[in-house]
Amino acid sequence: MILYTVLPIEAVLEGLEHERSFIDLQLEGLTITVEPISMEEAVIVRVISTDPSHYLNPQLSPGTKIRLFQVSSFITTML
Amino acid sequence: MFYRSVRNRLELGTPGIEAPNERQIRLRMEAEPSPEPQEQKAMTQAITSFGETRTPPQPVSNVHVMSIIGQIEGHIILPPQNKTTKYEHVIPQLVAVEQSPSVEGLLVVLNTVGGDVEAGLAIAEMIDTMSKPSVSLILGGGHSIALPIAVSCKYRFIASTATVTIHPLRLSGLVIGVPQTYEYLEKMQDRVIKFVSEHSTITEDKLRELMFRTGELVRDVGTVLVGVDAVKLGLIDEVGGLSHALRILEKLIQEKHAKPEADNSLPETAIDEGEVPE
Repeated sequence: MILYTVLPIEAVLEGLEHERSFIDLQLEGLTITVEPISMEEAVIVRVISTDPSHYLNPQLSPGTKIRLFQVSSFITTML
Repeated sequence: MFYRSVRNRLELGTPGIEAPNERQIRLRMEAEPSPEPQEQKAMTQAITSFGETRTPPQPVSNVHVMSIIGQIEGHIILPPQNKTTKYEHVIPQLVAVEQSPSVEGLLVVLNTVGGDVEAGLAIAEMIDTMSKPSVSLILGGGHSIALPIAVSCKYRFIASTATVTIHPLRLSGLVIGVPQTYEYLEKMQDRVIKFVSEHSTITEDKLRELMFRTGELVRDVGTVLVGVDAVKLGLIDEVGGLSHALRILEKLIQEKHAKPEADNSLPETAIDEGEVPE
């Protein structure tokens, strides 16, 4: 990987050694990778799908907070 | 709403009602459908997400806005202090834009410090080969790998005070000190230079000279171009802002409507000077 950036490389990569845990959630027709931030909430990190329209769905954009216990209703509102 | 009314009752100490604890409230909230009207719910969401009570209403737009911000993230997930543009999300999004019948144009808003070479070039290559009109707008700063992305659009704008930094690629981490390492780096750099020079009117030599210019102290070598400088060098088409970018995009969309069978190789200088907004 070559970074082409004006920021010093140390500033960009600081904290890279901290391990982050991700969970893959299987929804209907797609998988999302989320990073839990508390017992109830998680942040979407990545969408894994072959349907391009999923990537235009604002509810699925990376950085969106989802409530883990609402995942089931989340699917129904989304599809 | 329900939550708040329970809270009020608690604070007022209504007689005869046993105060439920937080856990019970939460359980009931989950069990019952929210009594909040949809609009209010959206407002609460807007406050928690954006710190504003009102977000602009959403009219159906034929333009897709893609903001490339922070670091362009490549094959490694960057630590959370970075704001990142994730290329694995942006690339399928571009596919969706190209394929979606409701989207007619793409506005790329750039305010980025650079990022992964491969990821940045991949985004630029995708935008370049799209058949739908694209306009880029550099605001604040479009540094390093942002330049290929900016020039990949059919028409480019830069805000008058925005900057573009051009500097050489650097190696970081463990470097094996053999000539091949530098040849490899040179090759990577040539890809960036070639892409930019092919998609703008600047020559390869001029771009290389800007990259290695000393005396401006962009860390050590390189050049900072502010607004009009980038236009004079032929990297960007025009100094402008949001309204200019949208107007040109609208114009490109209409041109495409006029001749729908035209291929995507829209000439670089297709827009004549007379109709360009100032």
